[in-house]
Amino acid sequence: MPDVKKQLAGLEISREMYDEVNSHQAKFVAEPGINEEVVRLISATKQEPQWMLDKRLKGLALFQDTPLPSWGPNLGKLDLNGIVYFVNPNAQEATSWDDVPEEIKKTFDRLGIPEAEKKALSGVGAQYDSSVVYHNIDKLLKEKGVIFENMDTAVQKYPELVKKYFMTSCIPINDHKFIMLHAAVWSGGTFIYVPKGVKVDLPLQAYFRMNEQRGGQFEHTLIIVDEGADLHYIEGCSSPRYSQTSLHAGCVELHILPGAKMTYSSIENWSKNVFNLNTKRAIVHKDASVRWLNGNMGSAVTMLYPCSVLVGEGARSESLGIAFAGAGQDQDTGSKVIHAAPNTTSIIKAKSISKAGGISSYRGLVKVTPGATHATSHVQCDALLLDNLSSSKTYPTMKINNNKVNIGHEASVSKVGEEQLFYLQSRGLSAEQAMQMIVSGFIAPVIKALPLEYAVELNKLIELEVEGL
Amino acid sequence: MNAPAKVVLAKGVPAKVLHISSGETVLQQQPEHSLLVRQGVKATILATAMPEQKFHILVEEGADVIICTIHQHAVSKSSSDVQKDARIQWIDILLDDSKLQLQTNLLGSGAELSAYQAFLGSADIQSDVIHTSGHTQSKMIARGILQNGLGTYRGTITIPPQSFGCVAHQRSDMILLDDQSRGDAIPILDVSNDDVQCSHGATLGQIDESKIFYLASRGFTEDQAKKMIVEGFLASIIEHVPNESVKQEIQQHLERGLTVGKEIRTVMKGG
Repeated sequence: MPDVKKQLAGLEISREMYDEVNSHQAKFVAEPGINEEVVRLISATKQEPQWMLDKRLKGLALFQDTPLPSWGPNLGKLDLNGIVYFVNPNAQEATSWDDVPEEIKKTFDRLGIPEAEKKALSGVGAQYDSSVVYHNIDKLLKEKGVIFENMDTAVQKYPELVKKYFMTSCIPINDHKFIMLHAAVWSGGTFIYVPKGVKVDLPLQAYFRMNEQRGGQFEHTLIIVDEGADLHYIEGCSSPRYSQTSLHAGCVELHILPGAKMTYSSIENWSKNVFNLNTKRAIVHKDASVRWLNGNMGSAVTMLYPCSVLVGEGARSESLGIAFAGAGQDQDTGSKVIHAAPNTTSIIKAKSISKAGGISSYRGLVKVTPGATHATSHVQCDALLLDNLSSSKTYPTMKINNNKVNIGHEASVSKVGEEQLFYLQSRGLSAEQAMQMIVSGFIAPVIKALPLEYAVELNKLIELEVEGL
Repeated sequence: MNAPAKVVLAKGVPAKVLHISSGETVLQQQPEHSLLVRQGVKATILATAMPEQKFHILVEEGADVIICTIHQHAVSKSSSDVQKDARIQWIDILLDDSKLQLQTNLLGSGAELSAYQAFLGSADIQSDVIHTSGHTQSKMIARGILQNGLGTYRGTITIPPQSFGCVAHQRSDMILLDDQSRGDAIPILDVSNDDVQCSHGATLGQIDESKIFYLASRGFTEDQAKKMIVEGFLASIIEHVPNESVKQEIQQHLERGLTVGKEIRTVMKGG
């Protein structure tokens, strides 16, 4: 552990870098608002096949007919007509770092992407606005037949795989209002296919970032881990601060085929005016397992409930989450698991921290279908309140439809103990250091599961938040 | 519809309505009861719910009331307002697909709620507490045995921004006796300040097979073993029932319910 501490101390994160706007000229920016014209334009620009255009138009029609959700955080401030739904940055996709435009490079440099790549990452797909501008994949992976591709490119290059898995069995286009919208205007994102039995030793990483003012981001991630394969995928988000409301409505679909293993790590740190209405779901087949690691700290409103559907016997799901809600923030997060096969297991651990009037909510679901005998599920959510202005809410739901199960749920809400603070201060720490140390300890079980650079970054980000912006 | 009957639990109040002094009282069956528990009174109330039942109770400062109700195929709505340093203990036994909505408002510091529910078969329980005043305590515990039925437990603890120093715990456990049964648990915490001790827990599962095995190895049949485990599971609720003959009555209801349930299972298996 001392090594980690040294690393922590040595790592300086300038808080401005997460809020910096890079002035760059976009090649093409659509008019605000959504209509059939915009959708057709997106599809035409990308030279998509007819079936994809049909899917988009169907999504648009559904979106226009569906009201906003009546539950959860207030979305009243979200002006769906003021959002730009398609931005194409002034850059062609580059394969080497030198080819990336200087301005864009600066943004990524500040986020530390090249360093991260040097250290441990085998491939970088970084999304800048709506297109991937930088894409690199380790030669070894290519030899193994791993596909790590921009989603737009994948539609052209791997039509069979994409047509089979893209918004079909995992997240259909009529799932909910923002998925309908996503289906209509999605752009960019990542496509990964790991062939049978291939183990990807190093995590694959993609960084998403929005930069166009009022820019919506609707990236689509589709990952197929074939039988017996193994993958760790990391997605990090950070966004510059803007005065106008932005919307992020991404979609992540994971297909984890029999015996495969996948870890999906994601740190989302959108600027404090973003509505982050994201949808993530995994279909987990026989003896396969998925592990979700989620950190949510930015945005005005987050609604994100990663879901595992355990469809094969012996499938497993583990979900670890941290949410941080500061002033004016509403973090509505949680995990869902649907046990649809016998002998399936799920574990959910959620930690939330609220400060300065922030609201953090855990909204979860554990559902066991009649045939899913001997399902086991354990849910634990703990909330830490740093002051008496902040709120914590817990809405777990358990729907159990057979009796050969073992289901448990626990939740607690607490504050930082006076005695703990007093003790640490008596050992020479300042009040602030003591508070940070207690918060670090509270989130440690989740942080420990992350790869090192991410653990360091997340820890540092939460430290900054606790310190007070 | 008759006007709600009023029962006043206090000395020196004109006995215009049902007269109750402190001590044990058996309520007459009527669809709506409005009870006022006067300052400092200690009372135990026993009731049997009508098919549609309502209770309203105001517990004044320092009073202490236990109300125990058996619900059989009933839809009941109960509400209680609890003033400073007063305590209320609700004990509700739900049988034959009963439904209960219980709402408690803790109005003064030192107020305390205990809510215990036991159910058999199918049941639908909603138990909510609002800690309107700081330095109040609540404990809500539900235990149920589901057979050939659906059990739903919803419980909400609400602690508003200015209610400091509250302690609130909630727990629901359900055993699903057969594969026809379904259980839903939705325990909700809504906490808006940091000076609290608050938790909830929920479990759903079948009877622990190792327990049946242990009892079987001691010479009990599977049916006997199951019955003992079920009775033990509900005992932590039933033990709060303040009257021995009521306890026995509940025990008889449970036994009858379990026997009927078993017969239904046998018929279904045979069919």
